[in-house]
Amino acid sequence: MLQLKYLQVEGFRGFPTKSDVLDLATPAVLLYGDNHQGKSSILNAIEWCLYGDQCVGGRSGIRERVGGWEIVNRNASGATVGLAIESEQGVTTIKRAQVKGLGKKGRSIEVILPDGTRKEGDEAEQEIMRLVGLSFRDFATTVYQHQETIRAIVIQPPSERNDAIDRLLGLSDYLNVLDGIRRSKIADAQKNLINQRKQLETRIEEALRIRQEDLKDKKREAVDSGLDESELNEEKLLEGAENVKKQMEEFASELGISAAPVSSPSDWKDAPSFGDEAQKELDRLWSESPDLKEQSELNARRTEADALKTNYESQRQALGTAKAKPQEFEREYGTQAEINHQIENTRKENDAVDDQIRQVSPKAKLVEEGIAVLEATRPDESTDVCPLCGETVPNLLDHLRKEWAERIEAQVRALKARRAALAEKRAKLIDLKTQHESLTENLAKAREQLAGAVQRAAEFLDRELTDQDDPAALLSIEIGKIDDRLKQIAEAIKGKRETLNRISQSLNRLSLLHDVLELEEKIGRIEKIAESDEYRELENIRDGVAVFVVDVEVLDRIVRECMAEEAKDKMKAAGDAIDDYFQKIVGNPAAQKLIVEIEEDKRTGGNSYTFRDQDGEEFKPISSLGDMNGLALSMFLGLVKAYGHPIGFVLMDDPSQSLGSRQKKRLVEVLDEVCRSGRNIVVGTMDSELQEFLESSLTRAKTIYEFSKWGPQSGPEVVKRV
Amino acid sequence: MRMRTLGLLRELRNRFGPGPFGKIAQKLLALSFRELGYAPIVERSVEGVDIDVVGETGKKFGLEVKTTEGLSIGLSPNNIQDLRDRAKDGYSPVIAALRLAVFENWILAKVPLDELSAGQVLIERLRAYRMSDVENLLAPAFERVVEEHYQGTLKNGQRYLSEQLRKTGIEIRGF
Repeated sequence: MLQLKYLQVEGFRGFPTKSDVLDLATPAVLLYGDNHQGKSSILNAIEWCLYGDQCVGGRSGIRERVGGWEIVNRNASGATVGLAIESEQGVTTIKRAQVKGLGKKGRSIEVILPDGTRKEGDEAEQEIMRLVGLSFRDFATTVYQHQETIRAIVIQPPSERNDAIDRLLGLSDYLNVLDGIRRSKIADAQKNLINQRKQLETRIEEALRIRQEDLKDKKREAVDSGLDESELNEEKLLEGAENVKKQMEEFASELGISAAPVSSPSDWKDAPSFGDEAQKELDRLWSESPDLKEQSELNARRTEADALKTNYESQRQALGTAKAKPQEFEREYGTQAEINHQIENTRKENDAVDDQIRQVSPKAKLVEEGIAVLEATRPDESTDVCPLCGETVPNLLDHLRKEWAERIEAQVRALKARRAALAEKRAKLIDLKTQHESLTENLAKAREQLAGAVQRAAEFLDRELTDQDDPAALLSIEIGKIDDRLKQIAEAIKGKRETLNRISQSLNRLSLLHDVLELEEKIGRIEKIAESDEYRELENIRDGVAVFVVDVEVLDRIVRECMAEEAKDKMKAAGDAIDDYFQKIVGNPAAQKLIVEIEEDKRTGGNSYTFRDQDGEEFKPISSLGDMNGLALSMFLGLVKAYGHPIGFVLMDDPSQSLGSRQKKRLVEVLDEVCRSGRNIVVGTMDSELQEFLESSLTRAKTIYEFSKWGPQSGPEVVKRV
Repeated sequence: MRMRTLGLLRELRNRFGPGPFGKIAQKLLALSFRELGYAPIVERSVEGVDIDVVGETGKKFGLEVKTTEGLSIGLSPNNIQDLRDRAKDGYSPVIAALRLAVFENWILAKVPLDELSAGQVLIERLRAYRMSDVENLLAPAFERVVEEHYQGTLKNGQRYLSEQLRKTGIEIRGF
């Protein structure tokens, strides 16, 4: 069996500096000291030297080592652990080192075999495994009793104790796999996929619903237009298009004009362009129809005839009025000659009055005229210059006004009144003359306009019109003829328009058929999604995910079954030893037999451990901390005993955490039994009572190291006591 | 399945309600298997699995038929027991599930009996056990069957379909 020989550490965990060489060769090595004095670091150093990174972090299966569990001391640049192990072949020395901050590059391992061969790196690791022959997980279960494991079993609530016992049994790999499965949330990913697919489905359903409603409406419209539901297909559409073409040709023939060719649709998608082309051709045929043309021309002619007749009648009436007005005027005011005669007489009479005024005051006429000239002078011109002689006389206008007022006015007042009356009379006569001239002009113009209307009517009627003809009557006759013809044309057009409407309805049906087929195609296009490569890929993914989810569930179940199986195997192998050690350490008189029952934990799916007594009753007192500690130690020592590995030593870290005095004494008796069975023990403890029992009751040779005065720079002071 | 088929099935469901529609879908499924050449076929309306079919190669399947508009189907302890019973007679237990939704088809899932438990089962989960080769043949056959029997079913419901089953040599057990 392998036995520890000696150990030296430097820069490792609690040891910032190089320690002395610790002798580990005696059957019992006891490490004493308070908390944080470096005892556990010695046990950790043995473990790390053998297993390196396997005992660090999550891989270790020890929760306390996940994050923050430092190898290199904070005040050291690197860690080195040297360990000597003796086997039947001799002493093998192992030296593991790690330089801070260099990662994998800073790690080294060196092994010197009993024959002096030196191995490094992977070869050295292989040599260690060959020597130890035990995985780290088994080492942690059956060689090294970690204080964390005891603490977990002792202080965890019952619901989590199962997990701690699983770890004590070395099942943490299974637990880690199960934890990984749980955290991967595969089923959630599948649900997410389902939801996303459902969203896609909802969008498709909505698009489909809208199109199907449109299709329903369009089909109803098509049926209302005269189509049968069974006819809503492409074949019927193409047949319909040919019918339209035929109808159009017949229509053109009926109209007497030739139809331009309209290209037939090759499939339903051509229907709109066919419809447009056909409609244009239909419009052309209709607009070029002879009847329609004649109707249009006759309507224009009738409008013109109406206008000519109205115009003639209006001009004739205007002439009548223009003729009557001069007659009325002459009856009241006389003829043009008579008015002229009166004007001449008035002029003469006025001349006579003027002569009389001159005779009364020869000067009067001149003064009067002078005043009139000066009063009409512009403001910027002088009124002091005589208009008759050109001499300048100051205040001439005032002089003339004064002379007129004082000496002339009285003499000519009556004559002037007479002259004013004559002027007024003359003005009136001139106005009458003007009026008479205007009336005469209007009469001439009315005659001219009537002649124009007659001329236009003659041109319209295409014949000469004399004074003996009545243009209005002739125009009325012509209008009657036009109306008769229009009636005939309207009758003729009515039948053709019905044909035109029939063709238009056929075109409309084609358009509806096209819309139906287009909507069906759109719906079909949605359906095509399911045939796309992308959708098939999605389906494959769905299947793949479903298989994967089931596979993971099966894997989960298998892992649980294996875990339960292994737990049962281990318990079966170590059951008697565990029971034996439990009786010896705990010494509970009520429990003459400890039976460990392993079942599936319905809540977590993991192992559930139930401890029963010899009667199958659940072992209630087990809930005391001391009993729990005793149970953990019994399980560990039972597994050590049951597990037939070649390692001849056991490492125990703070084993008496919650034990009572009697239980501690019993534990030491058990350890003595272990020692005597050939396994050396290395026990770290701060418990002075346990130390006392160890020293007094261990019957095998022992080496004691006392750890104290630990400082951050210097580490612990380690004193050897034999 | 095609939109048209889905539309027809939805109309049948709306016309007869979810429960009777389940039986209608079951009979349409039996007719579809018949069209694929499966014989003999037994369709049950009361006790036992819903449909027994035997393929041309002699392969026997016992089908528990479920339809839904949701994402899961309900399996009762009786359903599972029925499948177990048929398994004893050499019939592979199959859950035939149809979700009435766009692009969905019958899923024929040969779920191992020890993995079946009563309660709601996600249809998505059944995909892990699907018999894709049979499903691929079944889908177009089912479409044809629905198209062919839609009007008759709409008019006379299960009675019409029972007649069709008898006409095609499918044995009906139950009423």
